Amino acid sequence: MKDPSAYAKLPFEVLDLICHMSDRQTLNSLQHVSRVWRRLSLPLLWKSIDISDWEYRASADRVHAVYGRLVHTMEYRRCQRRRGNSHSSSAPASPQAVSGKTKTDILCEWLGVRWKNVRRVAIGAWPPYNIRRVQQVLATCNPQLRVLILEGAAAAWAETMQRAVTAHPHLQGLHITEDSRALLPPAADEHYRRSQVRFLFLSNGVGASLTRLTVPCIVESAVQLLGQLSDLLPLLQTLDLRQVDAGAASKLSINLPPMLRHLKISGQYPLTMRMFGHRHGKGTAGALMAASLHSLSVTGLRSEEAAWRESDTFWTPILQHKWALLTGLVIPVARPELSLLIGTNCSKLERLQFIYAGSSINQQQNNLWAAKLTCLPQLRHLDIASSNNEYEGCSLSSRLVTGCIWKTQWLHSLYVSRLSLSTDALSALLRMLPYLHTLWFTFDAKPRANDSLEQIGTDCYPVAQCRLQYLVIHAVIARDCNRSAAYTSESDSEQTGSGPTNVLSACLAGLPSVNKCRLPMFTFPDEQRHWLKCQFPRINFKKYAPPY
Amino acid sequence: MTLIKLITAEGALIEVEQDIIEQSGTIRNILTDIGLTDKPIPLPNVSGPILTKIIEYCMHHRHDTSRRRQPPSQPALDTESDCRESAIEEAIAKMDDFDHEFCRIDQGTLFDLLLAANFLDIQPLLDLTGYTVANMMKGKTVQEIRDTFHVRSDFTPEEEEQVMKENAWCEN
Repeated sequence: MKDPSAYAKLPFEVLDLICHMSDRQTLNSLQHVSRVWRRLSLPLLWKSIDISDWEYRASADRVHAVYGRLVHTMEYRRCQRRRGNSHSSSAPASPQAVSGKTKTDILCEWLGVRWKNVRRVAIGAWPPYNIRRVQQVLATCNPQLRVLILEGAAAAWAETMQRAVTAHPHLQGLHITEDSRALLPPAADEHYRRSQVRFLFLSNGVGASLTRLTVPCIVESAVQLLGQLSDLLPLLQTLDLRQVDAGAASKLSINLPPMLRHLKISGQYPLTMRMFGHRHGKGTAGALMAASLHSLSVTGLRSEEAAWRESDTFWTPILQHKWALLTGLVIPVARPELSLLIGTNCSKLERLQFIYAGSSINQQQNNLWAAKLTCLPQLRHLDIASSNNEYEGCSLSSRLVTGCIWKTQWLHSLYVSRLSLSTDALSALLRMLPYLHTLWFTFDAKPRANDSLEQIGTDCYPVAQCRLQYLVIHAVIARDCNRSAAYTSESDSEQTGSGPTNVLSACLAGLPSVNKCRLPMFTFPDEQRHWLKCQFPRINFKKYAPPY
Repeated sequence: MTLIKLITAEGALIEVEQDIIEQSGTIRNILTDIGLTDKPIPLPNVSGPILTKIIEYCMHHRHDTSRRRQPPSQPALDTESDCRESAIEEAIAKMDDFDHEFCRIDQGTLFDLLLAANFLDIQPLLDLTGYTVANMMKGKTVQEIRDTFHVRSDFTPEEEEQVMKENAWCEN
């Protein structure tokens, strides 16, 4: 270790990085530490100001005079938030009540000062302002404005703002961010209005330079505009579509922009290739996606039938292509036929997740389809989430470990809740995957007929140098196989010294790098966890409640 | 598999595979400049235990190219500043369980790692250690932060007064 005084001389760029990683409260303290810390923290502290926190404590002119040149972003998202610890009262007064000014007065006053460097303004739109006044101020007083962020824009507000925005000489980007529901009035057609507003702007060409777009919901009014997406947003790289509803999805034909790298879709409606059109010059949408996407994520609950249909009409056709760049893939429901295609055509995959592997998987074939995934050479993260229902979920036997050779060496997290591993299978897995850091599995704690606890410990000995640090035990299979695994009591077998706690203890003794372990709360009640804690002070044992 | 020889601050020789240590921009530049060499590369600023720790980190992230980002460019113009912020946010989002466990170390070792990551130009490790230090400072008073970094206040009484004056209206 260096002389501690050396830390006083951390390089400037390191101090700057630490400031960038610090929260607002810490930055506030840092400005008082020394000259260099003040120099670094002030621009960050004042880069963004939230008018709703400040307006009743000081005038815009005063803040502008002292810190005006540092402010790049001005926010006025809500009117009842207060800053830091200076006020601990649980019921803050509204700024309007304190200052006697309306929300529009406050906003116009702040926007009206010539903030030299303000380039972004973010405004929460409910309750509504006097739109005409705000529009005038925004269009005339902020020539530097480049980005306008509207949250929860109501239709009337947005239409007027649209005129202000298009009249603005330099505005390059418009983001209408996802609403905080707390800021919105309850309205039956809320989704409809929000989406309509969003696409009103897009159709105007305002967002031509946008590289990232999140659409919180897609309704029918948006369908036509999504069909022109590559023309409207030619530079788009990330598209996040949420809440795709059935009415819109049946008519959807998304024209994918050529630069798109990340596509995320959530909603319960199953995807089909028809939703992505076939008008691309370079071939089908499937080929375009396969050639350009770095990540594809599709989430949302699916019925058995919908998952089957989606597999046939979307996943199977697109996974026939070679995905040269794909490193991340999320699939809502696992189906046996997909794993072979993924194993063959997605060789660059680093992260693979199946949101649900349940009854759609033939229980007899579980290991067969899962084994196909072991041939992915770059895999670092595999997650096959499964129901805890033993009749429904996707149980995988330890043959996945003992009967397969994993091509990747680099797997560092394996989340397969229903993969049952005995101590020796666990050893085999760790020998095959030396970089495994996190493992979520079902612990098969049945001792073999001739095993002693010492033998179990010896099973783990050869992998004593492994890097496994975090164990999540989803359930335990104990000697009494007729009882539900998650609820297996060990009181009887503990008497004989061969209960799950003893078997686990012998196993952990051979895994010196493990320092965190979650245990199913019913199988390992408080006293068992306490006993394990005494045995292994290095390990932080926590309760685990299996998801149902 | 090519082994690169490194000499630590104590003079100890450590051999490490080329693709692992090439996560260090400094080493990568040296190898680009002089070509592959049998001669050991001296690292006078990095002790043996710290280098071992860094190799452990690099081995874990050996093939993980996604988290490597370019160091910030100077000077910070508006757009570059925005890019930097989003790159930092992305770097924080990519930190995994291993990373968080990796930084459960004493403060001295953490600072040494921070300095070594900066010297060796390993941006993801610099992000990780910087983030850990930033977290460590959360909730600390000004004096506690000074103690942590062994910093003495270099404000003149006039400057102190000026700082207090500027902030008086917003700090009650």
